[in-house]
Amino acid sequence: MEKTRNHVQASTPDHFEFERWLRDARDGGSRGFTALYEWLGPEVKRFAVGRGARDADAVTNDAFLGVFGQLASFEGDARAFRAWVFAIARNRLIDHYRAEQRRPPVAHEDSHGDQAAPSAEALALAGLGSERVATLLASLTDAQHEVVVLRLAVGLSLEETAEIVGRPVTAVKRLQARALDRLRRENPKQAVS
Amino acid sequence: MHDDDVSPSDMTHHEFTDDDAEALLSGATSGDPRLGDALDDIRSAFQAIDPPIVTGALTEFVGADSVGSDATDTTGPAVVSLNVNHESPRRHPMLTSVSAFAGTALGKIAIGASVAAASVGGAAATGIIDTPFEENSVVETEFVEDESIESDDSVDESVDDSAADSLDDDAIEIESGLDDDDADDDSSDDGDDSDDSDDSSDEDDSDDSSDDGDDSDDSSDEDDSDDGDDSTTSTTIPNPGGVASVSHTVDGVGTVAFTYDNGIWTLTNVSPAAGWTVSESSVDAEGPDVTFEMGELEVDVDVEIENGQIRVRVRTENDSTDEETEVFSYYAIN
Repeated sequence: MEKTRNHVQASTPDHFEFERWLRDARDGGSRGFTALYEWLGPEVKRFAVGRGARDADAVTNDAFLGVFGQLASFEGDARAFRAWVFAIARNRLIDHYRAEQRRPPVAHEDSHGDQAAPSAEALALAGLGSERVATLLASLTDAQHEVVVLRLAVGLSLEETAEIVGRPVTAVKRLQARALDRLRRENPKQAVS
Repeated sequence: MHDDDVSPSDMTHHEFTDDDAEALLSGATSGDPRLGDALDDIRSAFQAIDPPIVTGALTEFVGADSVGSDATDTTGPAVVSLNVNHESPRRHPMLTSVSAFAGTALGKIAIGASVAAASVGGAAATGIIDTPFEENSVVETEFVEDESIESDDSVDESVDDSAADSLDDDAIEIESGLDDDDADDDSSDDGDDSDDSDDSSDEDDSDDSSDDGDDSDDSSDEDDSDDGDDSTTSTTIPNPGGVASVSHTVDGVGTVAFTYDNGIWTLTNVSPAAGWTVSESSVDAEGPDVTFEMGELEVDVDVEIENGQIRVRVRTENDSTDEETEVFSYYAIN
């Protein structure tokens, strides 16, 4: 097992805490912005790293600028907000890849099924510190990869993940099962070390 | 079939069932010898990633002035330290004009004002967002405070206009994420591997999120002989057919679980969160109704059929501030 520095993951705020943050941010208060960013910023960065973004910090920053710029249009609770943030982050990731003239790392509507997941090298460059984990993730198809990153790296639920990738829950469950089969084949018997 | 979903080597037999995989990924199952420590290692590798560095225009929002200050102030959000880099050495060229606008003090004020206007004066629902926590659900919030409406539309428009291009992308994507065709898709998912091609293609073919064109609405007005009193736990209405099992959680308040089976409502569980009490719990012809209370806060969870779907309305009332909000969630009946 690798030595890791585990950062504390911010927990989902309760109904009233979230409303307070949102209200403060909508009033232009930096405390509200900060709390929302502190809550979801690390998750968005992990998503960006996991999807092989060359500059995960920039993706995260851009995503939150988009989020804060659109707070007027947001309606919903904390969980809806999280899904909304990731939908924006996913778009920002596509924007960044387009700017870099690389293929988008997310399987979106106009994809034609010929995409591979980000390579192990791309994941390492993005900031994923474990070569072994990068190799494992690179063995997945792109759709499997995105789902696994959202589930394991970000910690989203099945339903949240389905929401963000725009697939039915049952389809995501199937992707997950196939992804684990792939990981099993890439990781026979022994534990990853 | 989309190759990004399934590779030929995946189409043999699956060692992991869908439920196996979900149990492992959700953490319900601690591990599996077939995978060794792979999942834990993946989790750990990502947990080790440093928090994001705040750069450029974003520092205006989450700037150093707010970082770590007033930690004892209980009226505002908790604030902990952030990685703030005002020098922005890694600022990406993709920072857009919208971002630049939003990062200015004027942008913050305009955004804040427009949202405040929407939340105070908006009589109609202004947006629909899918809830990520329940399959086939849609959340729609309506702020119902009857305060005077000031001339805020212009502010809204100024923000929207300034938001322009890159925000449009987000809006499109968000709306595409709202597609609520799962019920249709699910019916094709129970077969073999080839179903995934359906799943993928289905992503593209819908636009409308909340109105699926279901004709079987108007259920609530049906006059039936079983009105039920407050003490019953189930009742019947004629329409629509189908079944659903829903556990709806209001974060920090409580959970209401119920089933709907071809017109029969059953309230299966009501669980208040710590500090909350249940002041009302009933089922009538239209559906369950549960009220949670804590001090001057009251949260009413009202369930009924609307346009062929289950609609859960969460109304929050704060007697001390006279503030009142409503959040709507929708669940499909299968």
